[in-house]
Amino acid sequence: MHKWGMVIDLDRCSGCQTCMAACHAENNIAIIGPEESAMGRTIHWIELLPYIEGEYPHIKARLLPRPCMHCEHPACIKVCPVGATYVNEEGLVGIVYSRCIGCRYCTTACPYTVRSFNWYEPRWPKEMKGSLNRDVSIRGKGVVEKCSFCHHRLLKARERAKAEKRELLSEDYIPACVQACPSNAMYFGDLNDPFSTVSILSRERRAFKLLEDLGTEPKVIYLSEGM
Amino acid sequence: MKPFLIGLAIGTAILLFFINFGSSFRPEQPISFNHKKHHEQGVECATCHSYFKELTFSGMPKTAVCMECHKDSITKHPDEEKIKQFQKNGEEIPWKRLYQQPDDVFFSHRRHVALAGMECKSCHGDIGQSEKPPTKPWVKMTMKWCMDCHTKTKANNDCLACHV
Repeated sequence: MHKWGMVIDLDRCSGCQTCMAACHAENNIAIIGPEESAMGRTIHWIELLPYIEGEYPHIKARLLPRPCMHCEHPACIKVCPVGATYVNEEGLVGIVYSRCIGCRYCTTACPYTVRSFNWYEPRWPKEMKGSLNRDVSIRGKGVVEKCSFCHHRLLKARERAKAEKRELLSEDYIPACVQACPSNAMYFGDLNDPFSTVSILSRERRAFKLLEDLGTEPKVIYLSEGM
Repeated sequence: MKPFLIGLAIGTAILLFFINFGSSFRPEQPISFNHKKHHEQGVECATCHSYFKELTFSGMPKTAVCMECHKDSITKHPDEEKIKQFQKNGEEIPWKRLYQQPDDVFFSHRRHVALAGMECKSCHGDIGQSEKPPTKPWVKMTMKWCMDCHTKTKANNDCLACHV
């Protein structure tokens, strides 16, 4: 069984936000207007979190790309009253949108704040009609959504492997953000395979996870900068 | 008491009318297509529904496909003239959709037919032997129905396999 995970090398990340753009296009993420944005109602499945390192005057501005961590022990699924979100066998945290009642317990419970609530009916400029991805459903008003590690791509990859009568290789499946990253700062693969790139990188000295002490065991591993 | 009873009677009558109307309402297809006849002539499913092996949907034939055989009148059926009329106006036959999935359910014909080797009749019944176009889906595609079959055939029964 695969255990999908991601490694983000902060040394290589230039903060260009290509991952965000790729994610928006891939996953039919609704475009939210400026007034709604000011209320904090934008939806991003991957976001660049800015933070400052060090003490003034020796400070460094840093940017940290933050997708869903796909935790082994996610806080979000424990609070869901309707069982709309769960971890599957391959370690992906999924949402069944038709079950979600929009209570937003999960958005509050998630320590990484990766979950967004659909406050409005999804809208796109009319020029974008026909450019939506048919493999990803459109989330209506009143449900919560988040990064799925482009799970639909896994389904497609598995289909392709089956058609070619071979086993699924870890190279077959990569999320849109990893594919789009121009500085190759993101890696994706099987954490259960000890020889995969992600496994090797996750054992590096620079490797760390966000809020590790919470015991959520995220499957997104960061490689720290400037060492 | 009396007005209440009259109201109740009228209400029940209206309710019964709607139930009756609802259950007897069947969408009529624009062409009374005879699957059996076409099948007997040696027309394969894929001749008209050309995409089910490659794509998520199976597709309905364009009038041009019908015209390949029906260019010259080969039957005396009045519907043949209808198809010609559609083609002359540059229109496609407005078939009524019977099988529908909710937006967050992903269904792929390719995955079921080409990859899992299922037959059309598992979901569409003996459509190849039908003489009239179906007016309702052969099976109500409830989640239980899907999952029962997935369990039986040991297919992936994870939520994310269908809910994308």
